[in-house]
Amino acid sequence: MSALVMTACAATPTAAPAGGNKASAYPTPAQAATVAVAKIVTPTSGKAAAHGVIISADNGKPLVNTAIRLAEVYRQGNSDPIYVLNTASSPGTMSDGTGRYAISDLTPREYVMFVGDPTFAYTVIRAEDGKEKIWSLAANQVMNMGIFTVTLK
Amino acid sequence: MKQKVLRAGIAALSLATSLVGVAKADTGYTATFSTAVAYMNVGTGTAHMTLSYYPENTVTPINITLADLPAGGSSTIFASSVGTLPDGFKGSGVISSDQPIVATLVQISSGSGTTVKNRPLSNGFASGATGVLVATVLKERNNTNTRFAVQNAEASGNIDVTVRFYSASPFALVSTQTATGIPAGAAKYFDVGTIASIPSNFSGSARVDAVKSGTSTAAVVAVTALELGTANANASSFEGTSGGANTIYMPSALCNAPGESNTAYAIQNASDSASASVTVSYRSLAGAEVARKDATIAAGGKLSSVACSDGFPNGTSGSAVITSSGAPIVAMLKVYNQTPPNGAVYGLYTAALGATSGSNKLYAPFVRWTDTQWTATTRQRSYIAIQNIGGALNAGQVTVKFLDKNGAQVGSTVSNAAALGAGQKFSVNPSQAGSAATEFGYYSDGTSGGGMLIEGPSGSQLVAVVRVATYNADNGAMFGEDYLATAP
Repeated sequence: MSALVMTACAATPTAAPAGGNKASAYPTPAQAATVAVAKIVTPTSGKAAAHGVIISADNGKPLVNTAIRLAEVYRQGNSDPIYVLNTASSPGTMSDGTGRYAISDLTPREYVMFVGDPTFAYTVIRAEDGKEKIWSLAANQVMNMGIFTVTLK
Repeated sequence: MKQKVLRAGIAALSLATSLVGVAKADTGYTATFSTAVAYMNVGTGTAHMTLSYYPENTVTPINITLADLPAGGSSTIFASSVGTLPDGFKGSGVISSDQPIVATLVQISSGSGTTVKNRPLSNGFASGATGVLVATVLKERNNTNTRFAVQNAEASGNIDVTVRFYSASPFALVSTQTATGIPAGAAKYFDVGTIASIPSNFSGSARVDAVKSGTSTAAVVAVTALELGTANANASSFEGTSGGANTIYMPSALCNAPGESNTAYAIQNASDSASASVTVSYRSLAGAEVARKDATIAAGGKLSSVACSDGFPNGTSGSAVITSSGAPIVAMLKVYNQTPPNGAVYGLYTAALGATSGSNKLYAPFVRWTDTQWTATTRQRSYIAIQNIGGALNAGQVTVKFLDKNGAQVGSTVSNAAALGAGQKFSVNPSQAGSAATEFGYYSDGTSGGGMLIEGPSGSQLVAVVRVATYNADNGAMFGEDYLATAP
C-alpha cells in the first residue's frame, strides 16, 4: 500500500533535477510558485516511488489531467539501451489539477518518462545532452522527477 | 506450445530540431515518425509475448518480455533506442506469442514544430510472402513521395533483397535497387525520394523479391509503406501485398460526404504480362449499384477511380466492389477532403488496402472513443465501417463488442439494425455501446488500450475498416487514418 501526502503550502519550486529537459525550459520562479506544491508518495517496502510537476509550454500553466507514463529500460550487451512503454501495463498516473503527479509501488529499475499518449500526442523527457533521460529508481526510494515544461506533439 | 509470430516494422526517427524546441513546419516527407504497435490477443488464453527489437541491419536483437495479455485484451507498445534520435533510427521488431495476436502500426510524427497531424496506420504481418507488391509508388507526383521498409520475415538467416520499380504508363522497369545481408527480423528502408534513377513525377509500383543470402532460394519478406506529402502535411500508410485478386471489396465510397470527404481507389494490375478488364461497382447504403466504371488496365498499369468523377451521387456514402476479368488486381482505398480547409493542412488523408476476402470474425486492436476530450484534441475517436461481402444477413446477425485492455466487454453489444444485403455496409462506433464506453480505451490511471470484435454467423463474410480520428481544431473537421480489421 502507499500513502499520498499533499504538502500544505510549499510555494518553493521543486528543485529541477540535473540533466533536465533541454527541449523544455524550466519554469521561472513566478510560474513555478503557482504550481509547485509537492506531491509526496511513500512506496511499499522494497518498491520505489516518483513524483513531479509538468507544465504546458504553450501557456506556462500546469498541464492537468495528462498521462504520465514510465517506460521500462532494457540493456543488453554494448547496445544502446532500449526503452519500451506498454500503454496497458507500464506504470503511470494522471496529473492532477495543478500538474502534479505521484506514482507509487514502482519496481526498482531504470525508466524513461513519457508525458501524454504515445499513440497520439506526447513527449519524452530528455536530458541536457538531448538523449532520453533515464531515471534509476532504487528500492524504497522516493524520486523527485522535478518540474518539466513540455509540449505534446 | 505452438508459437504464433507476428512481424511488425518499427521505425523511430526524430530530428535534432525537436531537441531544442525549434518550431519546424514539416511536410509529411520531411517529418520524422516514431512507431507504436497496437496489438490484441485474439486467442482463448493469456498471451505470453516477447518483443525482439532490431535496429536496422542488426544481427542480434534485444529481446524483451512483454506483460502478459488476457484473451481479448489489447495494448500498445512504443519501443526506441536511447540516444539515437540525433542521427535518426530505423529498425524493426518481431512480437512472438503463444496465442494468436493481431497488430496495427501507428506512426506518430514527432518534433516540437511538426504540422503532421495524421497518424498513419497499417497492419502487422503474421507471416511474410515472396514477391511482395507495393501497389502504388510515387516520387514527387501529386506532391507525394513513397518510403517503405522491407523486413526479413524468415525465422533465421540473412536475405538479399531486390526491389524493382515499374512505371505505370507506360509499364516499364525504371530502377532496380538491392540490399544484401539483411538479418532475420531486421529491415531495410527504401526512400523513393532519394533514389536518383527514379525520375520525378514518377507514378508506378514496386515488386520486392528476396533470396536467402548466398542462394537462389526465395525468401519471405513483409513490407510497410508510407505515402508522404512533399508540399503539405499529408501522411498515410499501407501494407505491401502478394499476388492480387479478381474481386476487391471497398467498405467505403464517399462523394462529398460527410464533411466534404471523398474516396478514390488506386487500382493496380498485378500482372506484368496480361491486361485487366476492371469494373468498379458503387453501392448505396441500401446495397444497390448507383454508379459504375469500366476500364481496361494494361499490364502493370494503374487506374485511379474517384467516386465523384465516376458518378457516385454527390453528398452520399456507400461502398464498392471492384472486379477484374483477366489479370488479378490490387486496390487501395484513399479518403481525403476535397478542398484543403486550411491551406496546406489537409484533414482527412487515409490509405488502406482493399479487402480481398472476408471472415465471420474480425478483430481490431486499436479502438478509442472520447466524449470529454475530443475538442481538446487530447484523445481520439474510432469510426468503423463494416461491409457484408457474403450472402444476405438479417438484422442483428452482425455483432460488435468493444473490449477493454483486459479483454472485458465494455457497454452493450452493438449490431446491425437492418438487414445487410450482399455488398451492403453499416457503421458503428464505441459510443453506441452506451455510457460505459464514452471514454473507451482510456483509463483513470493513465493507461490505455482497447479493441473490438466483430462477429457474424458462421460462414458469413465480413470486412471492416477502422478510422482513428483526431479533432481538427483549425476547422472543426477531423484528421484520420484507416486500417483494416483482421481475421484471427
